[in-house]
Amino acid sequence: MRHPNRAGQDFATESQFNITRRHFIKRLSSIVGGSSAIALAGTSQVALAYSPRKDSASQAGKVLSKAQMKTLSGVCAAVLPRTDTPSAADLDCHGFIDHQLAACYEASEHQAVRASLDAIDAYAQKHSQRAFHTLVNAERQAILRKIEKRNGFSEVQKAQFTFVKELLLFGYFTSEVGATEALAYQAVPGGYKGSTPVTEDTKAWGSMNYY
Amino acid sequence: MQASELFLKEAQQTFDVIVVGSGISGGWAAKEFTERGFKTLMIERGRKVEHRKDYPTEGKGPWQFPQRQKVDNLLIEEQYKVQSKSYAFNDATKHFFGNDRDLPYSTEDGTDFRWFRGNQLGGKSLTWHRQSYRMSEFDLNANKADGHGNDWPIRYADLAPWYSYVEKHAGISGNTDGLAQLPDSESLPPFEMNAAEVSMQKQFAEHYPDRPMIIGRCAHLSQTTDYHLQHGRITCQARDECQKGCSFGAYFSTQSSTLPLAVATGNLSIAVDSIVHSLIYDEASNRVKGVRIIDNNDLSTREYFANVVFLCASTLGSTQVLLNSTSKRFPNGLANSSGVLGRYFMDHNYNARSGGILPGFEDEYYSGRRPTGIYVPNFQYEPSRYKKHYARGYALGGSANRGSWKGAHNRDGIGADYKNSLTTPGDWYFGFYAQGEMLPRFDNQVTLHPSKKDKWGMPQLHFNVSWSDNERLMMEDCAEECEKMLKKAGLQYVSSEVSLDENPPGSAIHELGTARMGRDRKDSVLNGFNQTHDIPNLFVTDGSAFCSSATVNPSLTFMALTVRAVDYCANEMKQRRI
Ligand SMILES: Cc1cc2nc3c(=O)[nH]c(=O)nc-3n(C[C@H](O)[C@H](O)[C@H](O)COP(=O)(O)OP(=O)(O)OC[C@H]3O[C@@H](n4cnc5c(N)ncnc54)[C@H](O)[C@@H]3O)c2cc1C
Repeated sequence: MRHPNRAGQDFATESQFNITRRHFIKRLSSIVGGSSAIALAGTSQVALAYSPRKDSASQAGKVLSKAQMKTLSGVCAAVLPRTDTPSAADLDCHGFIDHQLAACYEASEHQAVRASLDAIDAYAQKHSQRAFHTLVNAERQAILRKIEKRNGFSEVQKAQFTFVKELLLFGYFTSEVGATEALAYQAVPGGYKGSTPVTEDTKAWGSMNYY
Repeated sequence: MQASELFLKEAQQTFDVIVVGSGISGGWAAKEFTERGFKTLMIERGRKVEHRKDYPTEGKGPWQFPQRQKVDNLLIEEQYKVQSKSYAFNDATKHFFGNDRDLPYSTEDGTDFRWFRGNQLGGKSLTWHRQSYRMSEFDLNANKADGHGNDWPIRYADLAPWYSYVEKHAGISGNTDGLAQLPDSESLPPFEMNAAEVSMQKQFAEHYPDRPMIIGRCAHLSQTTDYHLQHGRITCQARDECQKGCSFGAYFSTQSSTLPLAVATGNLSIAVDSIVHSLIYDEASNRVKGVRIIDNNDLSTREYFANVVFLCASTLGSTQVLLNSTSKRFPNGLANSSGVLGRYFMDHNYNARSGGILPGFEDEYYSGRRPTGIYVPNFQYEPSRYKKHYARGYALGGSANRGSWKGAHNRDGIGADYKNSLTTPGDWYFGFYAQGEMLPRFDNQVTLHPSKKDKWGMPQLHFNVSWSDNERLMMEDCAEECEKMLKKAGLQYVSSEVSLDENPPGSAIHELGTARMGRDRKDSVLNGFNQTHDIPNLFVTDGSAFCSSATVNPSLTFMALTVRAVDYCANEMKQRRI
């Protein structure tokens, strides 16, 4: 989508229909009184791309605890499950989210993700007497749908989960597999065509400008 | 004639011309002077950036960056607090943005300002969005017609041939639309509209015949021509990742377009990492003799000399140098006998937007990433067309696109169906954003801070600039009008917003007006040829010369003003009047 950007700048491409991260922070901090302090955790960055790991869910991350990483891997598997392309958990989006939180997000945002994952797991423990990540995908999905319907979950919890979903979608569709296999990627399109047909197999473009 | 040493540090000789700045304006000045045989020194405060070689992020996918093109929080906090507010700032482009830690400035209490920088060889020509429109007769007549600001000393006929001249070289893609309010360019073929846009265009033609929607005009080679091929430039590949640099040379930049020709003459020298601290002024002869430099890297000082100086350091860069060049005759800044240097600052106002969902067109998609959008030129372009409660008007930019995963987290959905909905083209969205005119106001002023200096010892700029009621009323009206237009055109879920309080002046990166032209030397710095009224061998040809902002993106006009000023100056030199 290319839409009027919010920064009041020359040429604009960001989706105005997004409730942007900034709005989210604003809304969240108006509700929970979040601090805008920059989280200093994990800032000694080596300028290397994040490479997916097999074991992210079995250890604590930079921001999230081991239990939270497990819950998050379950959320990743449930929101974007395995179809003809890998699931978000297969691509270690949970590991990426933890990495991304450490580098690019503030303490209040870390807290929002922790709170969201804790609430999800607590719900599973209470209603199924089991950890969220040990549930089957259909059971996990049922819980997450309840959050979106605010059924047993609050407005704040929905906003927190929407933020988790934002990170998850970003992690999945900016990964190489997500951008080039789940979506269609044109590194060098060779020109612009204003009208192309949509068929059964047409995939959305994974190559976009990252404004 | 002996070829000049291209990159130099020390120079004993007196050049014919010094050009300060290597961005859009400076690149043109250097090309024009060197092609006319003048030994020219281009001075740039930032580092050398070589075409192709110095585009390290070009062509990389998001997964090849540590945070998928997002920038580390701490780095932003420490070094890019302002620059990161640009939509174009990301991990793949940040090396072409200034460093806020090294480039501090201050703002008057109760005001705010965003100053975006591109301090390197090529300036902001590397990072601009290339939207290119001519100003019209109405624009150049606006101050006279409604009494805001001073009358431009030039009219459309003065600029028209120079627009043509720069357009043919730069390469501007667009239609010939035949609109009085937006004169046509010498253009390469237009980019296509997509199906949704074509339909919107028809809707507006029917419901708002005075608000035609056209395809955006941009400085891209939409077609390879023999002329451009000679300079190593080929057709735009529609990557729309231009701000990383483009090895195809498909968009206009100093590196792709003006610099190669200037270098080819053998008359160009370039001093990079050379910060112009001030101009050397000789009171007895009333001439500038050269410039004082502080070295970007080791802070040592040196001087360069020339017969003529062209300031092309960007509006605020040039103004800073002039303000910092004081003497007995000019205690408040060189060529500032009028006292208006630093005043009448303008930007554009991009702070209203509206959009919605366009039903239908499920079978239509597009291919490639178009480097421009659609455009509705200002339709309030003369006083009889103004709204009653504010002066002047706005143009609208926009585009139609199909939804993707971006923003989709706000939609409820979990599981395979949701995933499938993200991997296939989504709903069509159409959105408009405002490109509003900002009035020239005496009170909007930039000065040198009385005590604060940057690490090179240059006095910092201090901004006292704010939006006025006129800008606010215009944005509120624009949001309302856009909503009406979009609803009329059949869009659903239409919403709009005004963001004036979130985005202070400077945000549109179209700084203008601080050394304005005018017929009257008592209330302007430059004459109609960008020559300072006070000092005949000193010219300023960037946006600081503007008397009004108009609504169009300004850089094409910087190009035209610059080549016109060079032509005039070269003639004056030949006639020995300079
Ligand atoms: C993201 C973005 C999008 C934009 N989109 C558009 C658009 O679509 N259309 C449009 O018309 N415009 C656009 N612009 C604005 C456009 O880039 C500028 O108007 C244009 O580059 C100005 O040209 P200039 O040569 O005057 O200044 P610059 O390009 O800024 O170049 C000035 C040069 O002078 C140097 N300099 C400054 N001070 C000194 C000193 N003291 N000593 C030595 N050197 C100095 C700087 O380092 C710089 O290299 C955009 C800008 C940005 C950043």
